[in-house]
Amino acid sequence: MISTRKTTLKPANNMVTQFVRGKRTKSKGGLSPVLQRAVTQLSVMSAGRKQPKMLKLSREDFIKHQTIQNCWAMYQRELRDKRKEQLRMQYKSIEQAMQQLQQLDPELFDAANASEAGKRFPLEMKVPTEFPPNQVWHYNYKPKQD
Amino acid sequence: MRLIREFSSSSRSCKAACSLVKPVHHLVKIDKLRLSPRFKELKYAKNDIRSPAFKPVATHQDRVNGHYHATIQPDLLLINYSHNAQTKVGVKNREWDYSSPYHLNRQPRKPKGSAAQLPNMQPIKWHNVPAIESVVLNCYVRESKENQVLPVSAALQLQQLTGCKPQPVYARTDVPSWKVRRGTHMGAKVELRGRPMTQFLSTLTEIVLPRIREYKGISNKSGNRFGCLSFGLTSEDVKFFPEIESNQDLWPKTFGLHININSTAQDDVQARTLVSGFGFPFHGPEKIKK
Amino acid sequence: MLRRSLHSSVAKKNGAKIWSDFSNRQAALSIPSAKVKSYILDGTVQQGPPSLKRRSNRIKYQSPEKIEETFKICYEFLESRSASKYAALVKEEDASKRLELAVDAERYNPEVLYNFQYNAKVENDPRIIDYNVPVYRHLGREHWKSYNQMLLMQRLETLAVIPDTLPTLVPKAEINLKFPFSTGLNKWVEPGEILSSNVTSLPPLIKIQEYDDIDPTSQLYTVLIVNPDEPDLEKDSFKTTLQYGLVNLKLGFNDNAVDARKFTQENVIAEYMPPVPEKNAGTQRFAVWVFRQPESTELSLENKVNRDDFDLRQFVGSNRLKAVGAHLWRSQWDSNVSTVRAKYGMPEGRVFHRVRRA
Repeated sequence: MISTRKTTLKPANNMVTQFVRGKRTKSKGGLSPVLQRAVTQLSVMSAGRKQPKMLKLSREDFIKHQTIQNCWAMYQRELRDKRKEQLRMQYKSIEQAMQQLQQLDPELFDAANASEAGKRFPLEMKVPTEFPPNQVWHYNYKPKQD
Repeated sequence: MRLIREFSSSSRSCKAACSLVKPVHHLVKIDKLRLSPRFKELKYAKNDIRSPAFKPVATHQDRVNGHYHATIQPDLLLINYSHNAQTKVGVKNREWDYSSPYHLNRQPRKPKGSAAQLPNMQPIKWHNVPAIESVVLNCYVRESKENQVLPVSAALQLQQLTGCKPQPVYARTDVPSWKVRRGTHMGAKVELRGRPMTQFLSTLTEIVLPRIREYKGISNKSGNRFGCLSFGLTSEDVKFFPEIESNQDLWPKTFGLHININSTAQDDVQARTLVSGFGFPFHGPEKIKK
Repeated sequence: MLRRSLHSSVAKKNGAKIWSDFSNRQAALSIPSAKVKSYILDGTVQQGPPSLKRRSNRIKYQSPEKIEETFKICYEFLESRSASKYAALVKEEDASKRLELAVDAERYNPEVLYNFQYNAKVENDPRIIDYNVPVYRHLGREHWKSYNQMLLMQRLETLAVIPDTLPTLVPKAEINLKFPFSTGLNKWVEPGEILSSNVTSLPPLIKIQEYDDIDPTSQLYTVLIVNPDEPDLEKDSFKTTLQYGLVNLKLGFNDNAVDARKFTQENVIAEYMPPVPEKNAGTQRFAVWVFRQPESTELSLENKVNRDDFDLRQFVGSNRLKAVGAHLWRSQWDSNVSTVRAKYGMPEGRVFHRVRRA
């Protein structure tokens, strides 16, 4: 009670230490700003408090979730198999065409079988997006001449 | 004369040849983690929603992956096609001819013209079309030998760029000329696979690289001979990443990084063709073995 | 994309509703509770999931968003794949492939998954988990392998039951062991547990769950309980005694608990002798071995076995038995042993002392 009265009398910026009940005597922010910054950065990186709350599913919803996952896995598996099969068929048809070409026209075969090591995809080729760009086609485009 | 080794080599060398591992009398594989009664939730697979480590992965379409499967993969199959191609055997260790008794148990001879054995080159078929396997970002901060706070910022920067948790990098050996001591915390690295990797690649090729001034591309000389390409970004280039650019005042200091693209290509020439399909420019003369 | 591919495939196959048409499907493939079934398959009832017992919890509970629509799409997709499996099953001749197809056709059925995950698997209700249905046997085997099989093999190995009794075991069937409730322990015994002599004073109930595709009408089983730790003073060693021997047991996939109701005196080659270890004889192991008998041959009861010095390997070899499962427990001397001995009319137990060498 006395102390509270005294602190009210003293201005806050006065550095004379006084005993105040319930007040921390050791200074809290003892770290230099640089270190404090590093501590903050470390805490940003640690996963501790950022874990989202675990979902609690009822039995029925868990079964539904499992079914959805099973379906997705099966769909992905089918997709993978289909892609692989398509690539295999592509390879086989390339091989067959080259064999025929070899018999029909050796000159064309040599041209077709020339090594394409060092080939580059054109830089203009973009990874497709879900929506078309604002300017769909560059009508005045001319490839660079080296 | 060739000396034939005996079946049991221990009897001659007078070594004790007993196993310290107790014999097992059955063929069932035992996973001790599952048998322990503790931590029930930790026994679930990571993709099980009951596991605390569950993270929904396939939340959105993977554009880059789709592009790879739809366009690049079939094209690469055609580009790398060579009619009636055979496996090119890489140089291997050579046997001694055992003309001298000292050849016995001697390490095999090094291959001709190479310090180590080289892998075989298989013809590209439908099952081994090159693909990007992983991207490793490596951020080594030279000044951190004086200031140990810097590697923390570097790690945070990597996490901001990729969304994955980086690993610390420590100096492996003492280097007196660089004043580096062994065990000093020197930076951070992160390995990206799957969706974080494709996300990072598309950010890099669509946002960051086009805005770098006078950017020529990845050097055609880069590569480790076995399908891994490396290039770097300076600390100025890193500022073009949208994660850094959006709050620049939080990033008074940025750090340059090395980017290694690991692919399943068997040599660098194939790897460059593959990586160019994702929109990376290349520059400089390329050496192609005939 | 998934939606598109799915709808086209459904239209093509025309085998939809294969999981909901119960005209020629086993009843065990459906969820018995109508409430739960309609909640899963038809969508949210206004009162929340029926598995939550308290009403307040049901009201509080919120399903994840859009799980309903997504589930419907996925259910149709999986059902169409199942229909193609059933179509292949009709044409298939080879028995092992037929079994595989029958499992594949049902293993993603949410009703099957629900039934299996949330019902008793050892003491199964054949109306819910019917092990005659291949998919339940498949799920049961997976469940067994994920924990109980590993535990059993670890205990058999660390307690040296293999190779002390038989050289090895390739586990095929799940064995569970329980002693009558009147002895005070009403639970399935964990392999290797030390049980008091009171608990083991009555013959155990042995549950033999087969997961392989065998013919239960012709297959016969032999069950032997042996104690390899009986002290043999003459030889200064140990000998094996036969505690319990049953032969020519006929079991089903569901009705497979071996107790007094399941067999007659003609199946018994050795009456049950409860474990009564002598004082200071240490902990004794009691290994339960379950064998498949060679195709439809009955073991004869004529040649009586020597219980006191039983040669298990010779018995197994001469009768061409194939070990498919095992279990074990351990017993020690305790104050109740004399009561058990008196009950079975056995002689007084010996007390072993340490003998100093001269």
